[in-house]
Amino acid sequence: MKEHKKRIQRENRLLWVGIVLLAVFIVVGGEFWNELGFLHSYQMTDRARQMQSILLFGFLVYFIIRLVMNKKKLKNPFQMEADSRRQQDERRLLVGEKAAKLSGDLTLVGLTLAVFVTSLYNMDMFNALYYTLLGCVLLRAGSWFYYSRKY
Amino acid sequence: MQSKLSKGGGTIKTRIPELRRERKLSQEELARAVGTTRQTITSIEVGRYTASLPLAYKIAHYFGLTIEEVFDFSELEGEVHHERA
Repeated sequence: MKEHKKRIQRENRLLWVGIVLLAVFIVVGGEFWNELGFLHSYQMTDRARQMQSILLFGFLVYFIIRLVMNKKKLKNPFQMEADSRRQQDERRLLVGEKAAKLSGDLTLVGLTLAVFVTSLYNMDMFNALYYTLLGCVLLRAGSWFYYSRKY
Repeated sequence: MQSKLSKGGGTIKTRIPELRRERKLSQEELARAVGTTRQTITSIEVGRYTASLPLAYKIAHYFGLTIEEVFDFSELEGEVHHERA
Protein backbone atom coordinates (compact mmCIF):
# COMPACT_ATOMS: atom_id res chain seq x y z
CA MET A 1 0.00 0.00 0.00
CA LYS A 2 2.89 2.39 0.78
CA GLU A 3 4.38 1.69 -2.63
CA HIS A 4 1.07 2.42 -4.30
CA LYS A 5 0.73 5.68 -2.35
CA LYS A 6 4.24 6.70 -3.48
CA ARG A 7 3.35 5.80 -7.05
CA ILE A 8 0.25 8.03 -6.94
CA GLN A 9 2.26 10.90 -5.40
CA ARG A 10 4.90 10.51 -8.13
CA GLU A 11 2.16 10.56 -10.76
CA ASN A 12 0.73 13.73 -9.19
CA ARG A 13 4.10 15.47 -9.49
CA LEU A 14 4.31 14.49 -13.17
CA LEU A 15 0.75 15.68 -13.73
CA TRP A 16 1.61 19.08 -12.21
CA VAL A 17 4.65 19.31 -14.52
CA GLY A 18 2.41 18.44 -17.47
CA ILE A 19 -0.21 21.04 -16.49
CA VAL A 20 2.43 23.77 -16.10
CA LEU A 21 4.10 22.89 -19.41
CA LEU A 22 0.78 22.92 -21.26
CA ALA A 23 -0.24 26.23 -19.67
CA VAL A 24 3.13 27.77 -20.55
CA PHE A 25 2.85 26.53 -24.11
CA ILE A 26 -0.68 27.94 -24.47
CA VAL A 27 0.48 31.35 -23.25
CA VAL A 28 3.87 31.45 -25.02
CA GLY A 29 2.49 29.93 -28.20
CA GLY A 30 -0.31 32.45 -28.33
CA GLU A 31 2.05 35.37 -27.62
CA PHE A 32 4.89 34.41 -29.99
CA TRP A 33 2.95 32.59 -32.70
CA ASN A 34 4.66 34.27 -35.63
CA GLU A 35 8.14 34.24 -34.09
CA LEU A 36 7.91 30.47 -33.57
CA GLY A 37 7.20 30.01 -37.27
CA PHE A 38 3.73 28.52 -36.83
CA LEU A 39 1.34 28.58 -39.80
CA HIS A 40 -1.26 31.35 -39.88
CA SER A 41 -4.79 30.18 -39.13
CA TYR A 42 -5.92 30.75 -42.72
CA GLN A 43 -3.16 28.33 -43.86
CA MET A 44 -4.46 25.56 -41.59
CA THR A 45 -7.35 23.27 -42.31
CA ASP A 46 -10.31 23.23 -39.93
CA ARG A 47 -9.33 19.74 -38.82
CA ALA A 48 -5.82 20.89 -37.91
CA ARG A 49 -7.19 23.75 -35.80
CA GLN A 50 -9.68 21.40 -34.14
CA MET A 51 -6.96 18.84 -33.34
CA GLN A 52 -4.79 21.54 -31.77
CA SER A 53 -7.63 22.61 -29.47
CA ILE A 54 -8.68 19.05 -28.68
CA LEU A 55 -5.13 17.93 -27.85
CA LEU A 56 -4.09 21.02 -25.88
CA PHE A 57 -7.21 21.54 -23.83
CA GLY A 58 -8.15 17.88 -23.78
CA PHE A 59 -4.86 16.90 -22.15
CA LEU A 60 -5.07 19.85 -19.77
CA VAL A 61 -8.53 18.77 -18.64
CA TYR A 62 -7.45 15.12 -18.44
CA PHE A 63 -4.43 15.98 -16.28
CA ILE A 64 -6.58 18.09 -13.94
CA ILE A 65 -9.25 15.39 -13.62
CA ARG A 66 -6.59 12.74 -12.99
CA LEU A 67 -4.98 14.95 -10.33
CA VAL A 68 -8.32 15.46 -8.55
CA MET A 69 -9.05 11.70 -8.68
CA ASN A 70 -5.59 10.87 -7.32
CA LYS A 71 -6.04 13.31 -4.44
CA LYS A 72 -9.37 11.64 -3.59
CA LYS A 73 -7.68 8.24 -3.63
CA LEU A 74 -4.94 9.45 -1.27
CA LYS A 75 -7.60 10.64 1.21
CA ASN A 76 -9.73 7.47 0.96
CA PRO A 77 -7.93 4.28 2.08
CA PHE A 78 -10.68 2.00 0.72
CA GLN A 79 -10.49 3.61 -2.72
CA MET A 80 -6.71 3.40 -2.67
CA GLU A 81 -6.82 -0.26 -1.69
CA ALA A 82 -9.24 -1.03 -4.53
CA ASP A 83 -7.07 0.94 -6.95
CA SER A 84 -3.94 -0.87 -5.78
CA ARG A 85 -5.64 -4.24 -6.30
CA ARG A 86 -6.77 -3.19 -9.75
CA GLN A 87 -3.29 -1.95 -10.77
CA GLN A 88 -1.60 -5.17 -9.66
CA ASP A 89 -4.32 -7.54 -10.86
CA GLU A 90 -2.63 -10.39 -12.74
CA ARG A 91 -5.38 -10.78 -15.31
CA ARG A 92 -5.25 -7.06 -16.11
CA LEU A 93 -1.46 -7.24 -16.53
CA LEU A 94 -1.82 -10.25 -18.79
CA VAL A 95 -4.38 -8.52 -20.98
CA GLY A 96 -2.09 -5.49 -21.14
CA GLU A 97 0.87 -7.59 -22.21
CA LYS A 98 -1.13 -9.44 -24.79
CA ALA A 99 -2.37 -6.17 -26.20
CA ALA A 100 1.23 -4.91 -26.42
CA LYS A 101 0.27 -2.13 -24.12
CA LEU A 102 3.57 -0.43 -23.61
CA SER A 103 4.75 -0.33 -27.20
CA GLY A 104 1.29 0.59 -28.39
CA ASP A 105 0.98 3.42 -25.91
CA LEU A 106 4.42 4.81 -26.71
CA THR A 107 3.61 4.75 -30.40
CA LEU A 108 0.35 6.57 -29.78
CA VAL A 109 2.08 9.23 -27.69
CA GLY A 110 4.72 9.77 -30.37
CA LEU A 111 2.14 9.96 -33.13
CA THR A 112 -0.02 12.35 -31.11
CA LEU A 113 2.92 14.70 -30.63
CA ALA A 114 3.77 14.44 -34.32
CA VAL A 115 0.15 15.23 -35.27
CA PHE A 116 0.20 18.30 -33.05
CA VAL A 117 3.54 19.60 -34.34
CA THR A 118 2.71 19.03 -38.01
CA SER A 119 -0.64 20.76 -37.54
CA LEU A 120 1.40 23.90 -36.85
CA TYR A 121 3.70 23.63 -39.86
CA ASN A 122 2.62 21.38 -42.69
CA MET A 123 -0.93 20.41 -43.68
CA ASP A 124 0.04 17.53 -45.99
CA MET A 125 2.07 15.84 -43.29
CA PHE A 126 -0.61 16.60 -40.73
CA ASN A 127 -3.28 14.87 -42.82
CA ALA A 128 -1.10 11.80 -43.32
CA LEU A 129 -0.23 11.53 -39.64
CA TYR A 130 -3.80 12.24 -38.56
CA TYR A 131 -5.15 9.17 -40.37
CA THR A 132 -2.22 7.10 -39.17
CA LEU A 133 -3.01 8.12 -35.59
CA LEU A 134 -6.66 7.28 -36.10
CA GLY A 135 -5.74 3.81 -37.39
CA CYS A 136 -3.40 3.17 -34.45
CA VAL A 137 -6.03 4.23 -31.92
CA LEU A 138 -8.55 1.82 -33.47
CA LEU A 139 -5.95 -0.97 -33.52
CA ARG A 140 -5.00 -0.38 -29.89
CA ALA A 141 -8.61 -0.28 -28.72
CA GLY A 142 -9.50 -3.33 -30.82
CA SER A 143 -6.66 -5.48 -29.48
CA TRP A 144 -7.50 -4.50 -25.90
CA PHE A 145 -11.16 -5.37 -26.44
CA TYR A 146 -10.28 -8.71 -28.11
CA TYR A 147 -7.98 -9.91 -25.32
CA SER A 148 -10.17 -8.63 -22.51
CA ARG A 149 -13.05 -10.67 -23.98
CA LYS A 150 -10.83 -13.69 -24.57
CA TYR A 151 -9.55 -13.85 -20.98
CA MET B 1 -21.85 -27.32 -9.60
CA GLN B 2 -18.44 -26.93 -11.10
CA SER B 3 -17.17 -24.42 -13.61
CA LYS B 4 -14.48 -25.33 -16.06
CA LEU B 5 -11.27 -23.56 -16.88
CA SER B 6 -9.77 -23.98 -20.30
CA LYS B 7 -6.01 -24.07 -20.49
CA GLY B 8 -4.34 -25.27 -23.65
CA GLY B 9 -5.48 -28.82 -24.43
CA GLY B 10 -6.80 -29.70 -20.93
CA THR B 11 -9.52 -28.38 -18.61
CA ILE B 12 -9.25 -27.37 -14.97
CA LYS B 13 -12.49 -27.43 -13.00
CA THR B 14 -12.99 -25.14 -10.00
CA ARG B 15 -15.38 -25.26 -7.05
CA ILE B 16 -15.17 -21.54 -6.34
CA PRO B 17 -18.85 -20.70 -7.08
CA GLU B 18 -20.00 -23.55 -4.83
CA LEU B 19 -17.59 -22.59 -2.02
CA ARG B 20 -18.67 -18.94 -2.20
CA ARG B 21 -22.34 -19.91 -1.98
CA GLU B 22 -21.69 -22.11 1.09
CA ARG B 23 -20.05 -19.19 2.86
CA LYS B 24 -22.47 -16.55 1.48
CA LEU B 25 -19.53 -14.73 -0.04
CA SER B 26 -19.76 -12.31 -2.97
CA GLN B 27 -17.19 -12.23 -5.77
CA GLU B 28 -16.11 -8.77 -4.63
CA GLU B 29 -15.53 -9.97 -1.06
CA LEU B 30 -13.47 -12.93 -2.25
CA ALA B 31 -11.54 -10.67 -4.65
CA ARG B 32 -10.72 -8.22 -1.86
CA ALA B 33 -9.64 -11.03 0.45
CA VAL B 34 -7.17 -12.53 -2.04
CA GLY B 35 -5.92 -9.23 -3.51
CA THR B 36 -7.46 -9.36 -6.94
CA THR B 37 -10.47 -7.85 -8.74
CA ARG B 38 -14.05 -9.05 -9.09
CA GLN B 39 -13.53 -9.25 -12.86
CA THR B 40 -10.69 -11.74 -12.39
CA ILE B 41 -12.78 -13.92 -10.05
CA THR B 42 -15.59 -13.86 -12.62
CA SER B 43 -13.20 -14.83 -15.41
CA ILE B 44 -11.82 -17.72 -13.34
CA GLU B 45 -15.32 -18.97 -12.49
CA VAL B 46 -16.64 -18.89 -16.07
CA GLY B 47 -13.49 -20.47 -17.46
CA ARG B 48 -12.02 -17.58 -19.41
CA TYR B 49 -8.93 -17.16 -17.24
CA THR B 50 -6.60 -19.58 -15.43
CA ALA B 51 -5.34 -18.30 -12.08
CA SER B 52 -1.59 -18.19 -11.51
CA LEU B 53 -0.15 -20.52 -8.87
CA PRO B 54 0.12 -17.76 -6.22
CA LEU B 55 -3.47 -16.65 -6.79
CA ALA B 56 -4.74 -20.24 -6.80
CA TYR B 57 -2.92 -20.78 -3.49
CA LYS B 58 -4.41 -17.63 -1.95
CA ILE B 59 -7.93 -18.66 -2.99
CA ALA B 60 -7.50 -22.18 -1.62
CA HIS B 61 -5.90 -20.90 1.58
CA TYR B 62 -8.76 -18.45 2.08
CA PHE B 63 -11.27 -21.32 2.00
CA GLY B 64 -9.06 -23.37 4.32
CA LEU B 65 -8.54 -25.99 1.63
CA THR B 66 -5.69 -27.25 -0.53
CA ILE B 67 -5.29 -26.16 -4.16
CA GLU B 68 -6.33 -29.66 -5.28
CA GLU B 69 -9.56 -29.37 -3.29
CA VAL B 70 -10.51 -26.10 -5.00
CA PHE B 71 -9.16 -26.81 -8.48
CA ASP B 72 -9.61 -30.23 -10.07
CA PHE B 73 -6.54 -31.19 -12.12
CA SER B 74 -7.67 -34.74 -12.93
CA GLU B 75 -8.16 -33.98 -16.61
CA LEU B 76 -4.54 -32.86 -16.87
CA GLU B 77 -3.18 -36.16 -15.55
CA GLY B 78 -3.36 -37.73 -18.97
CA GLU B 79 -0.89 -35.09 -20.21
CA VAL B 80 1.79 -36.09 -17.70
CA HIS B 81 4.15 -38.75 -19.07
CA HIS B 82 5.88 -40.66 -16.30
CA GLU B 83 9.31 -42.19 -17.01
CA ARG B 84 9.42 -45.96 -16.82
CA ALA B 85 11.66 -47.33 -14.05
